[in-house]
Amino acid sequence: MRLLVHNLLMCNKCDKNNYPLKIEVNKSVIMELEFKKDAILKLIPKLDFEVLSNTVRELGFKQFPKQIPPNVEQDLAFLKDLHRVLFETHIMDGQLTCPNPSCKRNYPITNGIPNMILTEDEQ
Amino acid sequence: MSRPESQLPPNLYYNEQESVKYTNCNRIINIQTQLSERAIQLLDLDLDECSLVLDIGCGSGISGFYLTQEGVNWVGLDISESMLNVAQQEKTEGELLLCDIGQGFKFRPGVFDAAISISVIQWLCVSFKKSENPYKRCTAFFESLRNCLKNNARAVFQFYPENNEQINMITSAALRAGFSGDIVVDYPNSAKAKKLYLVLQLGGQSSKKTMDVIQGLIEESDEEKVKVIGRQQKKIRKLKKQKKISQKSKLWIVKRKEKQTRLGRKVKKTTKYTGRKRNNLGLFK
Repeated sequence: MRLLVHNLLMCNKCDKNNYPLKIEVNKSVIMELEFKKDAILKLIPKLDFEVLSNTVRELGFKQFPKQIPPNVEQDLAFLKDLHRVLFETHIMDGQLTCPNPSCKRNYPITNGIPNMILTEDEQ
Repeated sequence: MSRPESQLPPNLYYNEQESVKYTNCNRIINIQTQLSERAIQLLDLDLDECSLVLDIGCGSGISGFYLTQEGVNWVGLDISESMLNVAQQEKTEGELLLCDIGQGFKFRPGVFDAAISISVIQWLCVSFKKSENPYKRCTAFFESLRNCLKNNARAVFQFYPENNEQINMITSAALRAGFSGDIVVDYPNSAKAKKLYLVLQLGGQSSKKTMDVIQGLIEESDEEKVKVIGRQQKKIRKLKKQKKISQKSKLWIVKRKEKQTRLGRKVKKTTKYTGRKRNNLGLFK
């Protein structure tokens, strides 16, 4: 799982207070991918940048900016960091937890794929 | 060959063995490739604006591969762990989620620009457990989809409905969720090549209350087939119109005599006694 989908995903059980899911990482790996500037620029409006920034900092990358820098199209360094964080950092093992205190549902991540399937009782 | 949908639930049908076969079989890859390319064509993506697409039932990532080629990022959902593992192995560039679409799914509202699905949604119409209600699953799926698509987004689903009931179940669920759209049929005259695509639109100016079936691609040879069938049907209609002359009647005898005359044979003259009803005195028993 990479941080792009984490930025989009909400808890399947709750309707409120179900975003963002808390990440617990047991194993992560960096797999390089070709940097495409246009693809990343197109994606920026879709991101909840505050959530992304908080998540990245919690996972250890303290230098990641809290806000999108001005003149982002020219800021290659920022775009490359963003690329690394969104596309190259794979969380292979861990879990996602719903932030809703009355839910706290755990979604395990195995082989890099989060399992969002609910049991019969939960539907 | 019975449909996969009547054999096992999808997460069990697409087990490790089937997933490997699916990925290595050239015939399957070719078919899925054609379907994906056609669905992407029907999606009519504005590549300057489009950045995120939802791939429903992404499987081993065949359709996703073509999305990546178009330069769009995608998130794939699938119920089969084995298929997703294959996709992971193939290092697909999309995001992968293990998910049962019939349960619904939640993403941030309006985050996807479009949705694509190849050979999947007919699975929503079958249930293998008592707790699974196809009507509810179709409803949950289309409502979830509507929530996560942006306004004016388009969704294209190539699917294999078993019958009209399944088509109705799916289209009515989509309409209830607020979509409008049509079913596009490619190669309608070929039993083998015929393919159905549900093309949905969210929002937009006209919100139609029903869906039309419109003709998509038609091959040149398909047109020939239509002509041949037309000619055959014309011939049959003509034959039916000709009244049948009952055998051994006077009219039949006269016609036979005319034919024999034309052939140059010696034929007795036609008189008032021709074809007269004879009293069988029992002489020719």
